[in-house]
Formats: sequence, C-alpha cells, structure tokens
Amino acid sequence: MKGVNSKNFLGSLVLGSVLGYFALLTGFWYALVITGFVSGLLQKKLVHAFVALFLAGVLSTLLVLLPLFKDGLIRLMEVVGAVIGINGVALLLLTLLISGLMSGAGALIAASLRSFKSL
Amino acid sequence: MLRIAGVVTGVTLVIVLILVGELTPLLVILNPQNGVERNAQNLVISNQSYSLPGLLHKVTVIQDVNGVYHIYASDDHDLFLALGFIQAKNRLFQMELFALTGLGNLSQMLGSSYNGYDKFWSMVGAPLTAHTDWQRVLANATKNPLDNLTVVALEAYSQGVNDYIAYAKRQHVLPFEFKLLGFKPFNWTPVDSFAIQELETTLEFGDDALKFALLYHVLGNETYALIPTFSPIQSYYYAGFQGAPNAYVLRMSEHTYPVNSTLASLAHQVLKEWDPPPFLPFAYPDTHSNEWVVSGNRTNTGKPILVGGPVLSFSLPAIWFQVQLVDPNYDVYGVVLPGAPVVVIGFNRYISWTLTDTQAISSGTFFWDQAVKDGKYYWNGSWQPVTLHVINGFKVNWTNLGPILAQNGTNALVMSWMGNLYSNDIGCLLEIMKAHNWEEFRSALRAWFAPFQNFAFADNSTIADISPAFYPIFNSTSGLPYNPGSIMPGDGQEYISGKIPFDMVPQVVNPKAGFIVSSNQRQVGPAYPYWFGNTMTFSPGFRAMLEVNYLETHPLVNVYDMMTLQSKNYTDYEAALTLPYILKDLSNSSDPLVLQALKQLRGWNYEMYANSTAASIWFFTYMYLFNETFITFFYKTGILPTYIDVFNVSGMGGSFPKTSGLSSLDVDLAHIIITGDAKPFSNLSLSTLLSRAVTEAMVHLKSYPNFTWGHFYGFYFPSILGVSSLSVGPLSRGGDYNTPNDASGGGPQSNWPAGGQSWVMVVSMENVSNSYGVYPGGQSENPASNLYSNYVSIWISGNYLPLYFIPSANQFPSSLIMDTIELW
Repeated sequence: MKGVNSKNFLGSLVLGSVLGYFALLTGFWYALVITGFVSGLLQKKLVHAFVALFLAGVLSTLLVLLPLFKDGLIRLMEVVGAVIGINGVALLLLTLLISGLMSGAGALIAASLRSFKSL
Repeated sequence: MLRIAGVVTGVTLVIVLILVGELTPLLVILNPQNGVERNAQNLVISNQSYSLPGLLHKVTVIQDVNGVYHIYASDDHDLFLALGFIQAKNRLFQMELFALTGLGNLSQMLGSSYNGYDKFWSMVGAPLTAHTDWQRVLANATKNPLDNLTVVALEAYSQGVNDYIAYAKRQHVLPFEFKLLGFKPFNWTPVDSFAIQELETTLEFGDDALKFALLYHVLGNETYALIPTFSPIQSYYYAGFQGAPNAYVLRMSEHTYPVNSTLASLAHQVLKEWDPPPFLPFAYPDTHSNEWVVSGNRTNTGKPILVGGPVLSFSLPAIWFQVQLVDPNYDVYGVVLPGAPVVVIGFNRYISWTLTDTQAISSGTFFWDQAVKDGKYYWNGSWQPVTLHVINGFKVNWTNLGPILAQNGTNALVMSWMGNLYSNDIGCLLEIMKAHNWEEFRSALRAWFAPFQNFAFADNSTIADISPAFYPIFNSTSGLPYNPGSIMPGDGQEYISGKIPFDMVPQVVNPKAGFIVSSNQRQVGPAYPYWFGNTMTFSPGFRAMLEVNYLETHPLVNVYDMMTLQSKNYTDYEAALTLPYILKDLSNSSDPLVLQALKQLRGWNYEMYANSTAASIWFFTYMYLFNETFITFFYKTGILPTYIDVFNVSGMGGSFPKTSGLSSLDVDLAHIIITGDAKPFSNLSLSTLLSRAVTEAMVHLKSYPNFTWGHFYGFYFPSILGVSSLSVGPLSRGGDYNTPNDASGGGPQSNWPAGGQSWVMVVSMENVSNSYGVYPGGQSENPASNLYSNYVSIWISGNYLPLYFIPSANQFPSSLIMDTIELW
C-alpha cells in the first residue's frame, strides 16, 4: 500500500490479532471494536488503520476457529447453512467479515481521534 | 474533514453492527467463541473423560464400532445418570422437543404457529397426566418397590441430562438448533420423562369412534356391513377364542347410540382438529407393526427366536437410541426413547421382548354425549360442577368422564382416554429389563394400563405373548350397553364398570403351533366374552397371515430366515388370497387393456419387488377397485362430499398420498372379491367393477414411461427440522401395506411414506450375542455427524447389524471399540 509505514502496519496487525484473539475468547464479539481501537492508535492514516485492523479481526477469528476445522467445521456450517438457507462457506466468510468490520471500525475511530489530537 | 468522516464512518459501522446484533440472531449464531461454529467439537469421536456432579463411582462407556453405547456402572443410580448424560450428549435437542410436545408446550420453542397443537394436546389432558403420574409415583415410592425403582432411575437420569446441559453451556456446545431458535434448554425433570411416556401412549389414541358415529348418523344399520364387528377374513387369533361370535358382544356391537345433528357436527369439528403435527414421533403408527416368536422345537438351535418390528413415523434423528446398560442389577440391550431411561424393546441374558399396538377396544379412546349447562354436567339424575383445569394457559373443563372436547348449547362431546389413566409404564419396563423368566415378565406387566400393547416374549424355553392394559368393561342401567366403538350416552345410563381381569386379557404361552404372531391383527376370536372392538381399528391381518403362513410351512428356521422374512419378504398376502378370484372373474374380458394387465398378473408371484410392473398393476387395480366400490358408495349415500375432510380414504390403509385408511374397508374389499358380491355397496357386478378398476389402473400406469413398483413405493426419512437437504430419500424398496416391510405407516403428509419398521430386531435365545438389529437413522442428532443417518443404507437394503452384547468393559474386544468415555 502506498505510503504505508510497514512497521506500524505490521505492529497494528499483530497487536490487533493477539488482542482480538483473547477478546474473542471472552465470547463478547463487540470487544473486537475495542481491540481494533487500541491497536488502531498506532496508525495515523485512516485507510491503513482500517485495513490493518480489518485483517487483524479476520486473523484473530481464524485463529479461534482454526482447531474447529479439523473437527468438521465446514461440514457443520454446510448443515447450519442448509437450515437457515445460506451457503455454509458464505456463513463462515460472513463471520470473518463481521469480525473484520468490528475491528476495522474501532481502528477507524482511533486513527481519526489520533489525527485530531495531532492537529 | 476526512478525520470527521473517519469517526462518523467508524461509529456508523459500530451502530450498524449493534443493530444487526439486536434485530437479528446473526451475531449470536455466528459468534466465533460461543456460536454455532463451536458445535464442530461435538463431531469429534475420541476417548473422552468427564467429571459429573452426582455420580457416585466411575462409569465406563464404550461406543462400539456401530455407534452403540455400552454403559458399565456400579449401581442403578450411576447407570441411569450416565445414560442421561450420554443420551443428552447425542440427542438433547430431540429430547427437549419431545418433552415440549408431550407437555403441550411446543409453541414455547417453535413459535405461535404451534398454538393449535398445544391447545389440542392440553385439552386432551396428557400434560396434566404427566404431572399427576409423577406425583403419584413419588408419593408411593416408600411403599411400592416399582415406584421406588422409577424414582431412583428418573431422578438419576434427570441429573445426567442436566449435567450435560451444564457442561454444554460451559463449553458452548449446546446443539446448534437451540442457538438458531434462540431457545435456552430447560433443566430436565422426571415430569419430562412422563411427558415422553404420554407421547408413547398416543400409540393407542384414536378418533375411530367419532368416525363410526358419523357413519351411523348417515347410514344407520348399513354401517354394520361397512364396519363389521368381526373380520370375515381373519382366521388366526394368537390368543384363541375362535368359534361362533359371542352373542352378547355381537348384540352390543350392533347397538349404536344415535347422535343428533348437533353431536354429529361436534364430532366432525373435533375430527378436523385431530391431526397431530407431522414430525410427531408417533404421528401415524396405525396398523403396521410386526412381532412373532418361534419356539425352540422349530428352530435350528433348539431355542426360541424373537422378532420385533415396531412401525412408527420416521425422522432424522430417529426415534430410537441404541444402548446396552450394565450394572449389578441390569445387563440389558435394546432401544430407548429420547427422554425415557428404559429399554422399550430389547433383551437381557435371559429373556427378550418386543411390542406392537393391540389396536383393540377403540384404541382406548371413548366418547360421550353429555349435557353440560352453567358449569355443571348431568350424570345419574343430578347436576355436578365441572372441574376447570388451566393447562399451559388453556382452560379445559372436565366432567366425571373426561375433558369436554367441544360444546354447542348444552350438548357436549366428552372424551375418556385410557392414556389419562395412571400407568407407570417406565416402572414396568424397568422391572422387565431385569426379568429372568416369563413369570417375572408377566408379573411386571400387571401395572401396565396404557397404551394397549402386545408384548411378545421369549426365554430359553418359553415363548409367549400378552396384551395387558386397562381394557374397560361397559355396562348399562337400561340393559344392553351401547356400542363403545361409537359415541355413547353420557347421562349415567352407560358407564365403565371395571376392566377385563388380568388373567383374561389376551395371552398365550407355548402354543401347540410352536409360534405366535401378533402384528396388530385382532388378538382374540369372536367367541371372546368381552367387547374388544370392531374391524375399524385392528389391522386387516394380511401381514399376520403371511407371517403365519410362512411359519406353518417352514418347520425349522434360523435367525437368517427370520431376517429375510422380516425385511426381504415382499409377498402381498392379500394379492395371494384374492388375485386368483380376480383373474377368474376377468377371464372372459376382451378389453385390450384388461388383457394386457391379465397377461402380466397371471405370471406374477405376488411379490412387491421394486422392479416389478405386475406389482404396480395389482396395487393400482386394487386401489381403483376400492374407489369404484366405496368412494362411489360414499357419494351415493351423502357421506361425501359432506365429510370429505374426514373420509378422504383410500385402500391399503390409505396408501394413496394425502388420504387416510379405514381397516374395515380393506377387509370388506377382500371379502367382496372372494365372494364376488359387492352388495350393499354397489349394485354393479364384481366383473364390471374390476374391468373399470383394471382399465383405470392401466391408463394411469401408462402415463408413466416406466411403471415398475419402485417408482411408486419407497421410504423417506425427513429431518426433524423439516429441512429437505438434511433428509434422506425417497429410497425405493420392495413391499407394500400388506407386507412386513410396510411403508404406509408414514401417513398422508407426503407423497412418499415416512414411516415403517422403525427398529428391526431378531434375537436368538440360544445365545443372545448372536442377535441382529438396526434402525433407520443414526445415534447422533447432529446432521453433520457421520453417525446421523449411517444406519439408513443398511436398513433400506434389508440388512442388519450384529448386536454386541458384552458383559463387562474389560471383555470388550478392542477391535469392536470406536471410542471410550470415562465418567467420574
């Protein structure tokens, strides 16, 4: 990404993923907004903040779900999808999208506030 | 500006996500930590260990390679607690769904669209009975060993279920259905198990007496030709009493109380409300189950063989759950219902048993015309206050006879259902599970009042069958009682004066024939001295005739013969009985379509094979002959179209889609074909009726490019959630209504029958370890599990699985173990 401070970007990504992972374990999904916010404070640029923490949200969710894949997560989601009328893989992607948006939204707010302060 | 936009966008996103979370269940369902994804953990099959509150000693649970659980415990408490835990682990959603069904509280889980069912079920009284049964068991526990045993088992079982609920909540692995429905599982209590017992009691719960009343209202005495008391076809009664009809019983059967138009209208109204929800486990069992026992002198091992095949509605998960239960008091194998800790059909080291419906005495459901006015009912010359029960928020008034089902002015239609009698079936089965011989088995059944069941029995040297229940005896202050198979006067002149004594209920031990067959046909012949029902409720008996004929002509059989007879014998005995007459009657026909049909039928061996075209010709000929005879008669007499929603009947127990059956008419039709006389139903000659039927059948069949029987007959296994992609079938297979492998039990709710032999079991008493069985389903209720429907393919092909009966965990061969669970 043009003008990306890769150190900060990576820092946000890693921090966001680690915090996000632990936040998800609490079962309170909205906590990703907070972890996104905290990790987003490392970023100045809004777009960079959003992208980094969106990815962090996705990554942390994948980390939480990873052990379940070998247990048959895809098979299960196909069944759940059949019941509610949505493709099972699409449901999983939706899960990742929601996580990304929560984390990214937090980061967007944090980066904006940080910019205000630096003005 | 950009910064403000960033804040606004971020906050808006958060608000949108919160709104999605508030307005839809999406965030609850998909939550990565405690949403449906977590349920993937339930799919893991591996050695596990659980610490369970309430467990007194370690329990070992081995799941064998076929998925069957073998529970080894140190005492009864731990045994039933472990069963509760293991069953909930596999079937919690189904258990709670069944309990709510039994308690008339389905709308709590499934929404207000089930209010109608809840109202009907509450009105019937079953939820009330579940509560009162448990209270009575609890009150008697200190003085009655049977009740004490029941309390021990049910309290431990409930604890086991609740242990699993607590565990599943902690681990976020409650069945995903709960998460999708946003329903929190309730803690299990013994009342819930009694609610399951009440559901089981619907096996004998029928509206035939109301139908009889409507027929009599229109036809008068002609009804007795349509609904004869005794079958003119049946000759085998397992409990005897062949001979001339008992005159008193016959007079009583043909002495029907005439209802007025108001009562007829109330009966019609109730009949229209009677249909249960389609997924009910016992929704349409009707007249299809099979059981027989063969004595040792007719088997290759010299020891008896018992065969069981209860026909129930299919579902995935299936109604049965297969277990072996072992502790110092029990060592029993068989199938249990979800929510009741008892082996309903199975065996232990000494005995084996199985059940079929008796279909006797109006299915234990009686109706009365009673006067009710200003909160009082009339009985024996005085007015008494009705009792108001508020059940699930519904107000239900009871008179001395039972709940008021419908009322218009002072005319009330009141029901006495034997399912509302106190009956500790769970306790009886707990005793049976540890019985050693016929005496103990029979003794345990003294307390069995409902539902009316035939119990086939075998031990090392004895075969027997008994149909115990509270069979009411009717009496009248004015001489001859009215026919209890219709609506009766509820003013006190007719009343239930007692029950058929236990020693007189149908039963037989070691009969000379060397076998006993009890496949829903009438148990006792016309000479039986008690009123035992009419042909409307019993099976027409063709399955029993086939089974009897087979056993009579095969003097030495083995377990494999019995499996073949139960699952691969597709002989339609009604065809065998009547087709020679049909062929003779049509022999002079020159109609090309008839000749074409006759050519195929002449070479046919009565086998309803899936690849047979002759089988299709027979079936449709029979069905159109049924219509030509009876539907025409119904229109001529005015029964149709007035009562189209009640008498939309078809032949072979209602084998046409979206129709129902009337057993009497199938008996009548066979008799008509044999005697060649369709009077009084039709003035046409049988040849004319047959020509029309064959022509209609051929025209219908020729509209299909291929009309082998498999195109019309097969089995469907619907998901309990009603999701087609989680259902299995339809799968074609041979057989029909008149064969042991009967698919008609599923009833009229779909084009493909969704019912049949829900558990097939062949037990060798020479060594019960050489027994076989399978049910169409799987041990897990999770559709993503490999154990959800893995038995279906075995069942559909007519094959069986060996039933591993292993006395201790230490002796379990490692090659037969799928996984081991330690509970401590």
